[in-house]
Amino acid sequence: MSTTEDKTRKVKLVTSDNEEFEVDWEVATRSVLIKHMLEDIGESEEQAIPLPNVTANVLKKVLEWCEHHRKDPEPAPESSDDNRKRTLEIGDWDAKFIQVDQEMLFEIILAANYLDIKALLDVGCKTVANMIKGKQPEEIRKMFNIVNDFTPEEEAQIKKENEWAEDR
Amino acid sequence: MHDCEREDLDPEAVNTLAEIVERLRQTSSGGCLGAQDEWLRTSILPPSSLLEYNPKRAEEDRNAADRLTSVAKSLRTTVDALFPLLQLISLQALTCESAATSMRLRAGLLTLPDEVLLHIMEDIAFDEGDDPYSAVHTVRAALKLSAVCRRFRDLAMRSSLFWYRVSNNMHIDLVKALCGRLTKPIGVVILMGPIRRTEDHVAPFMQAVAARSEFWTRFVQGSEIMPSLFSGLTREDLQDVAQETRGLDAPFLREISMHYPDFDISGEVVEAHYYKSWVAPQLRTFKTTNLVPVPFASGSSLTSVTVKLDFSTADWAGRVTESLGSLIDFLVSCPKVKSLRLGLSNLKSPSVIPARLRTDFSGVEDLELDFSHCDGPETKSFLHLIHFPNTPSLKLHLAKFDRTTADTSTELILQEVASFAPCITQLTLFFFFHEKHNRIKHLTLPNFPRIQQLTLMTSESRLNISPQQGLFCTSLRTLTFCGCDFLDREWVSILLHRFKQQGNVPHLEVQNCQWKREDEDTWSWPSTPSEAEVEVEEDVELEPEPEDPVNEHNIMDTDDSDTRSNGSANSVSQSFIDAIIKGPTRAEVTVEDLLYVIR
Repeated sequence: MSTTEDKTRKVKLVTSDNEEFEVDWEVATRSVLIKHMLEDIGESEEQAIPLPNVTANVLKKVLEWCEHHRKDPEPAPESSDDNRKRTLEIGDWDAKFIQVDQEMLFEIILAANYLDIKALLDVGCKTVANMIKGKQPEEIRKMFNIVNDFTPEEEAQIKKENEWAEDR
Repeated sequence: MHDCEREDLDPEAVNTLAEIVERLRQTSSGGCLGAQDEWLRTSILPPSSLLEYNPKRAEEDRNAADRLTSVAKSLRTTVDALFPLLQLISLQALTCESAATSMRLRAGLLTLPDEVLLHIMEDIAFDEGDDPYSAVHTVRAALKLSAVCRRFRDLAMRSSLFWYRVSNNMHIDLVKALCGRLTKPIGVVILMGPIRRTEDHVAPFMQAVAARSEFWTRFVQGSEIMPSLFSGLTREDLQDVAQETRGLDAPFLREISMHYPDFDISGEVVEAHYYKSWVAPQLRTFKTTNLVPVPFASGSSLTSVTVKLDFSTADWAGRVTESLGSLIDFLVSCPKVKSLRLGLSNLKSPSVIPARLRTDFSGVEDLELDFSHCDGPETKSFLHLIHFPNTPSLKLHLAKFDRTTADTSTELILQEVASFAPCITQLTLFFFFHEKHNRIKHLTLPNFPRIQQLTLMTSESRLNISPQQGLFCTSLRTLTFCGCDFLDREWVSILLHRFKQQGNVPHLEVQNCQWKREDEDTWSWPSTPSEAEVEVEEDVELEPEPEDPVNEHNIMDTDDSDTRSNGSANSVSQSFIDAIIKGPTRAEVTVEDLLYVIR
């Protein structure tokens, strides 16, 4: 639980390229990783949190998302039931936010995964999923320039399974 | 390898182009177009000269003109050649751009850890739902993904979301393959009426899934939302299920959900109760539609039970008597039930309610009752058979589609609440009344003296809800309007003023409600509400004005403490009507609106 003191507190974050960001506690703690690190270091306001896996330009983008979602309720703990509730819908603001080049898109996904920001990870994953959904395997291979590395036996098995699935 | 069949460029044009490119390269900037004008002027175009009689020079001019024509022709050929060349270059540019995108995407995928890539794959392929179609769609999409490359396939095989549901509308070999992939108890077995009657696949399906019953967590037969959707199991199918699952050991089975479209099969075939012999020590949830469960050994561990019975399909009155008696017997056999949901539809005269003593269900904490299209006396008689002495929370659904403007049946049921559930402190009333002429239905709410939280949900119903005369809900702390599509300002005003006069203005909450427009029904507005409707009877002692800090806070924002204590019926009515005239119509209801109404 956050206290009133926490909400006025500032947090320093240092990126892999040594850039320092000072943000509100409420914004920084959208990241579960940062939240846990802050809990570990206690009240020390001067101590900066190192983020060796995130560059400044990516962190800037991630913090933009955190700022917009600072008041969102904390995500529920993982459960098998939650896993079932998946859609590919993305909110308007998030959809606009994630309109970035492919390199930045994957950087955001990686940063969200590293920083443990589940909702941002979901937005990134859904964006990639929307690119792939509805495509045939060959189209996906072409899209990502992936080689078909199955053995003939594996190909036969896959073909059989697909036939079973399409049977009814 | 290349395509030699395509049309070649004219070699002369290629040479001319090469010469032009070479001249461009030799300029100081390596590409100066301006220098080409000078080249044309000095090297190709003849200089101006005097116009004197000179036949010899005339011949030279003719020769020069021929040379220029030849150069022009060569340049024209080059221009023509440039079009396909431009197309070729443009295509090559596009191809490179597309390849660059692919490489960036591939680079992106290459950096993603397996769990994130699997997350993406599950977003693509997973279709939520306990129905057979969702299960099949998911498997199809997952199999497509797993056909892309080995990494995709390995990850797809690892996903529990893709393979945990098996249904008898799948090919039996696929069912066996999916069952084989279960390595932990997450399986959901979905049984439905066969799509094609050309082959018997209930028995082989049940054999395949029963062999892996140690991984079952849920068993679903039919659709809870639309029981008629996946119906069609025959007596023989049920006999097959019973035979293949006799004594089934399902150590992690948590939920059984069985839904029949009517009582035709479920009421006649003893095998409809095939679950009786299952050994399921972890069973917690049991849901049925049009099937009255029978007591069974694993039922003693149930904590949540839902039974919905639609008596419109009951072919004889004895079925109702028998069903309600059996239902109570079943509930008695489930002593650990904390959450109970009963839905009785079309319980109508001349139903014969079984004569028996009232039964206590003291363990039930959350109670939900749904009486749709039921008659009051029959429902009341049923409610006399059940008693929930300790239940704090009740959700009561009442639905009726008829032409009456008064609803004595509903009022009769509401009056019974205090009797069958005397300790209720949280009450949710969900009204769904529909009448094609949009006539207003008038409803009087009885006093609920212990209720602290009251939620009113009126959906699309045109209602005029009024509190009964005398004291009304004096313990109320929170009043919530939820999902009211046609909320009427008048009765809301009267209701809120009753609380104000009693001195217990509750905390107000509004969720997704809209005010009704005046022109949306045939009901005409009274000039003012009658005093009898809004004033407390003289012989009833009013409670003091609120000193409770919670209540003070509730109305603090109105900044109108004087009118709070002195509001009269007439001034209330006038301000209320003013609000209607001035206020927006068919607008979203806010807490501020409600506070304004009771100023």
